[in-house]
Amino acid sequence: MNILELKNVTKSYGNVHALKDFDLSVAPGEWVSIMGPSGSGKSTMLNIIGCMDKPTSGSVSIDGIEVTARSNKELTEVRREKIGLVFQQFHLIPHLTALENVMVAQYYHSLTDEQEALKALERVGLAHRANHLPSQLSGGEQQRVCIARALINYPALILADEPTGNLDEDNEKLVIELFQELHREGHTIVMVTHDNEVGELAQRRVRLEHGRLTQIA
Amino acid sequence: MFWRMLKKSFSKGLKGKLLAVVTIAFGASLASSMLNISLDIGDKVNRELKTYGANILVEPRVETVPVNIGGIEYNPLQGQSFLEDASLSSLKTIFWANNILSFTPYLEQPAVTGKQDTVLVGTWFNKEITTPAGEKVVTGAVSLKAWWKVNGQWADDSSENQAMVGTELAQKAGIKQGDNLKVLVNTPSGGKEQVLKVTGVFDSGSGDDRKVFVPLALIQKLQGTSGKVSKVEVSALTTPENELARRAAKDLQSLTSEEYERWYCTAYVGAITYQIEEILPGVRANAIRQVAESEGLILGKIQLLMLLLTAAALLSAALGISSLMTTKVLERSKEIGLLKALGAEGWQVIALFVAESVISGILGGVLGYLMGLGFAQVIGQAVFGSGLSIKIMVLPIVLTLSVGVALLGSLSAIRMLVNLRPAEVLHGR
Amino acid sequence: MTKQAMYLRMVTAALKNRKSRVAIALLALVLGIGVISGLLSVYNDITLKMSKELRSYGANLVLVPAQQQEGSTLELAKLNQVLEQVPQEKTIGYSPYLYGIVTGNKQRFVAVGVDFSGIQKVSPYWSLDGAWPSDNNQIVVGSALAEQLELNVGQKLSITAEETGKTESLQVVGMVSTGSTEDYQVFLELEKAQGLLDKEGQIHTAYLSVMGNSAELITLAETISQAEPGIKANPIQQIARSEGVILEKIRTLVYLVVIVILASTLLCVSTTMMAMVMERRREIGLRKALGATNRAIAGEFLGESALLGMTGGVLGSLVGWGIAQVIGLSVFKAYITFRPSVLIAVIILSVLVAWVAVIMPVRTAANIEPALVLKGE
Repeated sequence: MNILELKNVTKSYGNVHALKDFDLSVAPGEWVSIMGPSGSGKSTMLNIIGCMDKPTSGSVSIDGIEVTARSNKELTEVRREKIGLVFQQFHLIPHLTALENVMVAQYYHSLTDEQEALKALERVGLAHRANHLPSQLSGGEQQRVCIARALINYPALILADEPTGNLDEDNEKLVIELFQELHREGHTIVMVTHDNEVGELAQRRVRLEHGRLTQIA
Repeated sequence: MFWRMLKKSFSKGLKGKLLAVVTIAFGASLASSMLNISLDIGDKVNRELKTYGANILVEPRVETVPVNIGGIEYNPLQGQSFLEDASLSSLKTIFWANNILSFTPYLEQPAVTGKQDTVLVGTWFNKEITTPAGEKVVTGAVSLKAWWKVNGQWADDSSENQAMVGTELAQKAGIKQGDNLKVLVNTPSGGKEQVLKVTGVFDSGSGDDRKVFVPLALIQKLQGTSGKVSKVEVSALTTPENELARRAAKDLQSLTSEEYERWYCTAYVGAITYQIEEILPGVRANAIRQVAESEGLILGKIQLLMLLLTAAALLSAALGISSLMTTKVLERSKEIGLLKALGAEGWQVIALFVAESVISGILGGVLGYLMGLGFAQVIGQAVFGSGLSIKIMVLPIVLTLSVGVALLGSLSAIRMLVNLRPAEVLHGR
Repeated sequence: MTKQAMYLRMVTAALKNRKSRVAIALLALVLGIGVISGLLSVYNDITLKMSKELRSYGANLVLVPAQQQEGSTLELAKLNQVLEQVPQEKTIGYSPYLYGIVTGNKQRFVAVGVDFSGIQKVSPYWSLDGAWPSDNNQIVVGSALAEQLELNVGQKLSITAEETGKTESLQVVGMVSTGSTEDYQVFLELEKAQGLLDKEGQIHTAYLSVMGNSAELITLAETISQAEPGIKANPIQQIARSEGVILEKIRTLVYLVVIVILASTLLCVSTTMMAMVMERRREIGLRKALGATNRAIAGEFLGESALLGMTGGVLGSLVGWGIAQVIGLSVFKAYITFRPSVLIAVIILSVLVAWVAVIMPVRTAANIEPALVLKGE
């Protein structure tokens, strides 16, 4: 069963089509890169995959669950259970520590478990920064905390939006290495990026232009 | 360009501004209603205190000493000096005529009813008189004796035989409303019997409860003292005593001419009694201290209380507005950073935001003043049963406060933001 | 840690780490609540304190013999018995009165036997020029009478009682003016008057100044009249009735002002809260992206405002206590008592204000779409 199945997905805003007749399947363990210039509809597609938005027409299913017909509340549930989000702007809650930021994801999911959260931070190499506030962490460290947070609930799919977009070269390397590890461990990753080098690292590359899909390798 | 940016910030950014203006308006309305009430309350409470009764007594200057125990006069010679009732209307011509709220003349006549000794008191109940200036004024016991509880009706001044009987006398002699009461009086022209129609029985909680109140004209006819009264009670709005009033009371001559002007033109009870003595020949006008003193005391306390309440309310409003303005400015930190990044000088940014604050302050201030007037009227009606008079001077005060507070609130935030580097502000700290 | 612990952690951290913004909201809340708290403290005391002030108007209760005939008297001893009936803390003062017609300096006037210390408390509006008598042989003369008799302070006055023919020579130590009948009377120590008028142990009336509204006075008067059959107590309604009216007006005024201040505070805190929520748009969007429901978000904001409200309530009470003392001391020259009930009421009020203030912002938060907020700048 595919982790992600998009069929004939169209998203329109009035006469503007952000996505037109989009098809995408992602199998378990795959690392797919979605590439394209700005305005190509990448963000729209990301929001739909991330269950933060619904298509105007077409079907979306996550880990076998059809989501297009569901209410916003149910969408939130699916997102909670199945998807780990990593943003370009590494959104962390500024008044909570790194550890607490990871625990927030647990909080809305099921139970908070400090030990597990600490382990997640260890996984990304930041156990020693557990009690620091985001303002005290570098860009790369903040992004890694986000990745730890994305992993904490054992999601079926990791969705990353330009994860290295705001990082310098060194931190970019660190984060990319982390994703490679995750891929080797068998996580399913869908990553949106405009950086060709980063895109090439994925198993499969998909290109978006003016809302339409064109496939590359 | 400055004006264009300013205009745009109000036309396009109106929603955000609206909240600020409304909040300022609310704070300003609080301030304006409190100020209005504060300034008017003295007058309002003063009128309330009038329910305590007359605070001035006017009597003819007498040679003989009254021998009065419990309201009964034991000196037959005492009642022989009189005032003219026609001259009473000139009470409304003194400098402080507008402060004379009501006045009532009295003329007494001992009488016997059944087996009870009593006194017939001739007075005005609700009489309309014309002042020398041609104004029509209604005055009498109805307004002066506000604390009387009347079972039945007040007597009519124009009637020849209506009477109101005090509750103690009524109980002792078995008199009820509607009864025909026979009284025997000893007049200079011999004993006379008079039949009175009892329109009502009153409870005054005082010595008057043993007396019978009748229209003044009736007593004057019985005694043959037409046009005469033996004393007058006056109820006047007064200003509480202070150092100047006390010095004038002790020795009027000790005042400088400037102080005399000031004293004469302030509604001290002493100034009013002095003016009454000026206008009515041969009288002695005195403040009934029991009422006059206490009024001043109570009034003073209430005004002080209101002043403190107003100060507290103003402080609270000022802080609220100022905190809001700070928030509003901090909200727009990106905008400020952007302007600076585009090359604006610090003072230019400050000028723009200051202008916005000032305009918001003025709009809010005017709106708030109007709202405040509304609140003040509501409070005035609810507490005193009458609207408050509008004090114009409140408007400039409230406007100044609104603009001032809005400025203060936003200024500190603006300065802080302007001193930051644009990059910090644009990308969030 | 448990979910509840995490909840508390998030709620407190939200307030602690955003000090400046929270401080502003807190300040507005503290001041508004503080003023209201102060006024509430004063409100409770106002009736009591103002009522005491209104006693400056003088006697509001008069005791007379039940058989009201000319010249009938009461026994002083009985009066003192009756006065045991009146609660101490409510009695401002009292004085017995004994009247007699006398002659002096070729004039005929009234002499009154009183208790001078009592008179000062019952009738504080008497204006005295000179001094109050310190012994039986000293008297106070009404100012108008003094003028007629051409008397000055320090001079001696010889008075003869008409009924008994007894004479006393007494020293004038003070002149009193009230603008009423007292201005034509002479006042002596009660015992002296009783001797002069051959009325040992007797009085004509007694005037009392007690605290209480019109209804309480009527009840008290009845109690006294029943306890002692020879005595009738009458409230002096001119004073008592008006007092009630004035007090009610003052209370209504304070009450209305409190409401206006409350509304103003509510609005100010509300707008600050709204701004706070708007500022945290991204955080809210993030939480929603992480799976928070609107209920969960609402719950967190309610928790934060409850905390803010409680802090505001406690601090506000302190400020309010200060304000109450300022009002109490300057207006009534007395301390306002601290009431635990006001403290609790104020804290609850403060939390309620914070909650009401946060309703609109929470609604706005519910409409935040994570996608829109997280997308970009």
